[in-house]
Amino acid sequence: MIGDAATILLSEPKTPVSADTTPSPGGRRMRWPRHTLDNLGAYVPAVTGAKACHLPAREEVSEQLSMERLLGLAVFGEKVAARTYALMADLRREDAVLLRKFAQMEGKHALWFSQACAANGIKPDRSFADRELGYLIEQVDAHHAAGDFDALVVLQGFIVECLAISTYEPFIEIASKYPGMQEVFARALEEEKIHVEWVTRYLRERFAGRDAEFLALVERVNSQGVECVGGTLMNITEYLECIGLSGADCAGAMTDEYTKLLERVGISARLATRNVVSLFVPLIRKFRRREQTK
Amino acid sequence: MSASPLAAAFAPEPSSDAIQLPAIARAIAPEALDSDEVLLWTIMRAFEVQASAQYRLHTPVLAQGKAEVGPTLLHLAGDDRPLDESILGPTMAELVESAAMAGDEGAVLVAQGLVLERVRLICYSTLARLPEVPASSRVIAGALEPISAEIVARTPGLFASVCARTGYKPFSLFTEASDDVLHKLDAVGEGVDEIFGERFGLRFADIVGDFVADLVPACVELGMERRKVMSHLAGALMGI
Repeated sequence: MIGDAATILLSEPKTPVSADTTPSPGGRRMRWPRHTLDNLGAYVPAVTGAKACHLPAREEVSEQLSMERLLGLAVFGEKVAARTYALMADLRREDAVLLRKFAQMEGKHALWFSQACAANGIKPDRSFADRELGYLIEQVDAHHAAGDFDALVVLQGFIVECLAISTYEPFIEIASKYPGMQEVFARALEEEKIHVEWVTRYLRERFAGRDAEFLALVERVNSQGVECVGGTLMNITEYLECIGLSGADCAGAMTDEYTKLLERVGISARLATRNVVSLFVPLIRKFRRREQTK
Repeated sequence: MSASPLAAAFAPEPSSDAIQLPAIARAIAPEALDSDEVLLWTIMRAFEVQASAQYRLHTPVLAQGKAEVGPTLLHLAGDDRPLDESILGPTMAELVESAAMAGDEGAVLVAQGLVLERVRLICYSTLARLPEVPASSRVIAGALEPISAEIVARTPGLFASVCARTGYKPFSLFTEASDDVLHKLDAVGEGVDEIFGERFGLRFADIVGDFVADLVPACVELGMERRKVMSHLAGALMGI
């Protein structure tokens, strides 16, 4: 037979009660603080250096604004990807022809998306894209300057392509109301998968039997990369929701794609999941606090 | 400190096959623990006592192994003040309150058996092996680990039975009963890192990493789609 206190605990309603009468998990009367704005501050460490998020207030978000920002990211993100593959080609002569072809493909995606935007009266938001992509470009440039081809492969293959796949796939499902969008995004998605396939094969061969070294590289590159692109994913959650997509689904898809990539390179499923989640937790923390992610 | 009324309610009951808490863990004196350890076990006590109560009420088969856990932890860390005075107090209280909303067998199997029991298992497993953790707490964690492991192992079968009996779709039941608990779980992360990170080397990101790595295949085994589970976890942890 369970005591009265436990029965109260099990059926405790969520309506606030005074601190002195709150039943404790241990069944005794405890004085755990209530969570009002008045007393919460005393228990939460001050957030120093936190800046306001760039997101506009919820009431400002419209479908037009959402499409302009999301398509801005898509168009200019593809251009950044084209540039990244071109820089990779500089660093690896034996694969330069293929990597330049990849760069051209990414450039074409940007062109197709721009044309589809024009046909639908959508002006891709360049300033928003610049703000979101600036940190990624800095990372790409730093890896290129260091001659770190493997880091560029990981950044482009794991982070950028994963974000593209995880957002293009659901967008295609809902894009029928924008003439021409479904077709160009579907074609681009198929080509992104070809790029990911090459990345996977390259890394599997390059790091065969050297899991620890590979994971160290992934963590080094992606702790910054996730901050950047995962942060963007979180910053566009409201826009995704506004056009009928789920931010959670896209975030889940991105982590799942990333995990599967690690597995395809040869990392065990458990280790891959652990690695991905560990990378994302600090980012989720920032999202929760509505801090800038980059 | 006066004994909790629940101590009597959770007095050990004879059990035929459940794993019992080793005597060495029961023999540790409260004075052997330093202040960080006391806070740690105050937190774990809160969750263990709650889990025991919920198991006994809704899934008695899972309560057997826990019979001695609540009283032992109440003996070691029965005073709430360390938690009251900690930055972890508010977020832990919210997590306890969220778990308390599980009011039937299915919800308890999800909130406790699939989620919080797995988190406890990972915490015990990690604490038992971290060299920075004092020996007495390593012993306690090591003693609690197999008890949690047994419950975690038994939960999927019970969950599947509930779904079959009630007609609930596994993913629907899982998401409904875990969403808020997962969100509240993530909220304790910063406090855990601040208090136990430097002292014990316990990192919340690692705990959640292990948790998701264990939970996702368990959900897939129960017939849920991996991508959907990942999306639910991402959404719940992000609070979207």
